[in-house]
Amino acid sequence: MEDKIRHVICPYCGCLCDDILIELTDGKITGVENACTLGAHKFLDDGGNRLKGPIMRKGDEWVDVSYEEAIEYAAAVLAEADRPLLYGWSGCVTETQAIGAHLAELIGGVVDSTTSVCHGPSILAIQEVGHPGCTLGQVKNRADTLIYWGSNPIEAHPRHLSRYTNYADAYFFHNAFRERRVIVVDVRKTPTTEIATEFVQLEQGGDYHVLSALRAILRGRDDIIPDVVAGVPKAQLIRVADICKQAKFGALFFGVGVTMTGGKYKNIRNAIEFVDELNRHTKWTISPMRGHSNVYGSNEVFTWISGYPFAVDYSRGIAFYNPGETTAVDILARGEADAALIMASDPGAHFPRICCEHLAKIPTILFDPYQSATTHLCTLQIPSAVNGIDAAGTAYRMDGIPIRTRKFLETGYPTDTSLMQQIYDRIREVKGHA
Amino acid sequence: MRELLIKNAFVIDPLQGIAGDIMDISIRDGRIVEKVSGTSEVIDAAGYLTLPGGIDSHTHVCGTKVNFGRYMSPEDMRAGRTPRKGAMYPTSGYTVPTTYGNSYRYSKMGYTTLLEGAMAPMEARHTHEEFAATPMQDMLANTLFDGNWSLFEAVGDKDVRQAAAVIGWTLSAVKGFGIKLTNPGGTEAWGFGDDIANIDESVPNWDITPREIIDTTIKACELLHLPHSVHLHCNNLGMPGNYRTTLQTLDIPSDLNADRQTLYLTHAQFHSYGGSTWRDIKSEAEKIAGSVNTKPHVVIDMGQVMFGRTMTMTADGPMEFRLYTLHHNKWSNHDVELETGSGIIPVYYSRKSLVNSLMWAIGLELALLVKDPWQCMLTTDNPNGAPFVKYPEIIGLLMSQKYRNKELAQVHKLTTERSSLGTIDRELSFEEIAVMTRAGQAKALGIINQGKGHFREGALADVAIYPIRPDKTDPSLQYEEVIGAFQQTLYTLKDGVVVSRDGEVITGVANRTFWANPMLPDDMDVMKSPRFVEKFSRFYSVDLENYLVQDEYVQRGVAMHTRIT
Amino acid sequence: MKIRINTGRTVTQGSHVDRKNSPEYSKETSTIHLNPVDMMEMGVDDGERVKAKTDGMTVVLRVISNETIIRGTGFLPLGPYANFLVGGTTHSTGMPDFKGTEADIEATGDIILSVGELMRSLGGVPYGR
Repeated sequence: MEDKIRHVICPYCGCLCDDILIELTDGKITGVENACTLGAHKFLDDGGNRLKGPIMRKGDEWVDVSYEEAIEYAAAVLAEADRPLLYGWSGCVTETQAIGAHLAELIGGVVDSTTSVCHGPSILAIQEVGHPGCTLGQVKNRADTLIYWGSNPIEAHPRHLSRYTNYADAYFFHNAFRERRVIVVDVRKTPTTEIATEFVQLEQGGDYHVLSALRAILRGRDDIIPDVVAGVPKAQLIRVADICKQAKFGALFFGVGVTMTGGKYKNIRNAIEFVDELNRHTKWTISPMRGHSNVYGSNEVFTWISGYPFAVDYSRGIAFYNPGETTAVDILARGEADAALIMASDPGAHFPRICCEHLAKIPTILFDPYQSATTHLCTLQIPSAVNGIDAAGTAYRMDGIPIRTRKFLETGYPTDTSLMQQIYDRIREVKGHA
Repeated sequence: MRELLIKNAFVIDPLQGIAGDIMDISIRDGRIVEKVSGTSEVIDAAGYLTLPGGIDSHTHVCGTKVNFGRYMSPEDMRAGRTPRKGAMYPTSGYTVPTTYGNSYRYSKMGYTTLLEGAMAPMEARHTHEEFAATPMQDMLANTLFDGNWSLFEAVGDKDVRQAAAVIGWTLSAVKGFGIKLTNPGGTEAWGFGDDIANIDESVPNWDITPREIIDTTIKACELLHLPHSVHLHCNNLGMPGNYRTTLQTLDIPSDLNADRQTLYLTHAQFHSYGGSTWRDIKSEAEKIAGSVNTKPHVVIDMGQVMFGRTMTMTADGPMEFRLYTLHHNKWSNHDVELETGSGIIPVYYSRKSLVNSLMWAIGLELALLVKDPWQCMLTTDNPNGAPFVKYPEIIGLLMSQKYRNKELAQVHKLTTERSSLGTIDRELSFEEIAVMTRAGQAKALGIINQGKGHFREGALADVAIYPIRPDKTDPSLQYEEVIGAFQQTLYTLKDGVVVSRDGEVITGVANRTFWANPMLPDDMDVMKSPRFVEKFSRFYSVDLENYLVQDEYVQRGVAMHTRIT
Repeated sequence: MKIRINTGRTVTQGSHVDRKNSPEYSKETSTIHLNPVDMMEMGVDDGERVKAKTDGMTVVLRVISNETIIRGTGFLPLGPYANFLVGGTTHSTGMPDFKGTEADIEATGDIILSVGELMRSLGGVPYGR
């Protein structure tokens, strides 16, 4: 029996494409249309790939356990822990993220999301100088000049260009693709640099210098620019600054190429101030290329509940925020956490070695439908329904637009929202808050 | 069946014409009833001032730009942290508190209903999620239309019915309550970095003017019989000389509604400036109040500025950019495709600044010069003028000329020259304050019949008991007591349950969301228009089917159905 | 030879995020792209293996030549092999130095560990089913 489900939301990356078509045959996903390779894999690889039920490490063995046992264990571990870390959150819905924040508060723990190893620096910069941005449809309809800086959307956000920028339909253009210019700034050649109208190749760690040079040029101070800045010739810098000034509407998108290198958040600050400067001449916006489908959601939820967008430490009984101290990598690297709950993310694959070593030492509870690198480090893994397939909820796109993901399969897996709620309620009982 | 009797309450209920009677209030199952049985719970109000729950008709507490303001301001979060206490979660924030922070602090002040000042339709889900986390108040959302392309097309075609179709569909689709216009035309111009300076200037790329947008939208609003009138943030906010724009705007509508105003002009203080530069700026509150006094179909709210640090956040993107060029503070901007814009920047209002001192004076002038309190609501456009926790101080200033003059002596010395505040001896009464903080707001929002703003039988039992005896207090002299009393209720009740007692929220509750649901005939159903659907799919960045706000977001929603005549 | 390693996303790596224990993922994320001249100097050909060493930790990788890679640098797709070499310092920002690990690279006959075995070397217990 065949079924077509339309307007499905892809839960992979920050593009949060909502025009996916899923073909079901006898209740199984057999076809995906409109999605990019990443999204297609997300849907097509799901069947048969899930953990059948919770698994627990006992000594050197792995055993199957029931959900009840899993909840009991998780609640006991977290209730007792002195400094629990609740990390991840970027793939699950806001309803679950909210429980995570409340749970951290209940047990006096730290709640952090993948933000801290992705666009955390961007938020630090925003907290210094603000964020002149817009929704993606503004870019699509108005932008004649685009910059991708330290970002390779063709491999990381494959439909970004066709849905929101270079190749997208636009209200204010007759033939948008022909009228738009794309500047790509990177340290290496990538598939994205191949489609650039202007490719600026700079030295690793040189983003800050190049941005400063561009700002100086904008202010009419070409005279102080040396012949080469971080590998970029002065003539090209002047040309790029000019293209930016001539734009009627420019949009700068930046990725982890700038958040992870050199001055990190200072790079982003410089980029934001560059865009502020451009706004005195014409219209420009800047936007981070958020990697996960709901990492921005975690920032939104943590903020309206605690006041801070990530790295929130409740051990003092109030919300405390100090990136570098209360961020997940630092807490694990310093060996501070004595228990961890990892939700919808894979630090085993994405955190520095020393953090993984620590996770292996402490009781680590992992929520993930599939086996990951963290599976081998954790003490308990609980598979739950997959957001966007058999669980629905709110996700925030990279530009802040909230979209509700769809549930189109019934699999019998409990949702992470319900599991987290059970853990929360159980701990409240244990702590006598009921 | 839950019964509660409040005895010996000093009741002021302007909608029922009660102006200070000692009486009992009977409550059963969350509503006001005529009487209860002898076995009910009893609260002895001991002659203290008892008012219907406070209603804020314009506050920014939930949504995209509010949350932007929060996460870009960790220093603000540090300024207002409270730990968990009893039923209260920890809170953070001073000018942009977290949702629980807002909710508890409003509840402490006796407020049980809030209208979120601005919600972009495309981002409605975010507002609704935050509504659910503001549990102590029933919520309503003003929905932004100032840059709405479908509305612009209808305005250009001079088609009020089509405008009504677009607005009606949008409000139902996103569970919005009222129509908000912020710098109409200006937010769209800001899409390419421009603004509009004149209500008869054409919006770039569109052959329409702000005047036409306002006029058509008002007529569409009345055709739809929406509970609330058009809610307008005028063009030219904050500019010296902008009073002219405001006067012209006030002249646009005629009286189209028998039950309430036809135009609600918000935070009028920011729109009452004379002079032509920052040097010769002066107050034109007299002219604005004068105009309002001749127009019973117009209502304003103050938008009072109070000194100190706060956060500005509005859909008026270009205005916020102007503030950035003035103050060089951290500035955020967020334009929303096909709909509207927004901007956020922290500010500091200083007594040493003539401009700021005038802003402070103008808000008070407006409240004192507008004769009918039903036409002037008490707000600060929270947090733009000041955080809402400053409302009690504003009440003190309005009720006491002595306090006003004391404060006037502390501000910039030219303030008395450039405004008339020093010459005004009017002092508002408790009854007038009650109108400006609940009864008038219920009327203006059209929610009297929903049981808000009064103690008629059947009303929602939202009650605020303040620790002050009006019959034993002279607010003119005892303004400090007045301020203290309005800062913290003895009891705040919502739906007949004591939710706040002596400043502490003692129980969690689940709130309602009121939203407007115009029932439109088939020929006005935009979803059946291929042109509308095609344009939507080409130019928006989400699918139409995913744009609609699902029922999950208004789990305790109260849909207010209306029909076209 | 000293190589400055950059990491980043690739389509193949991204397509297998839900299958991190698959041979495809392991292959993609354990393959370092080097400049062909550097490879010649190291004495390695396409598909052969190298040891990348930093701070006393060593990980075995496969090499592939890529002309777009600048001499003295390498590109290793984001994943557990790349992060094996990354330290826990974040300079008080919360963000480690993911891109720009300085490693000593030399040819080797050692085998490439599976993701599970890599995690075992960090103290984990591989789950095999």
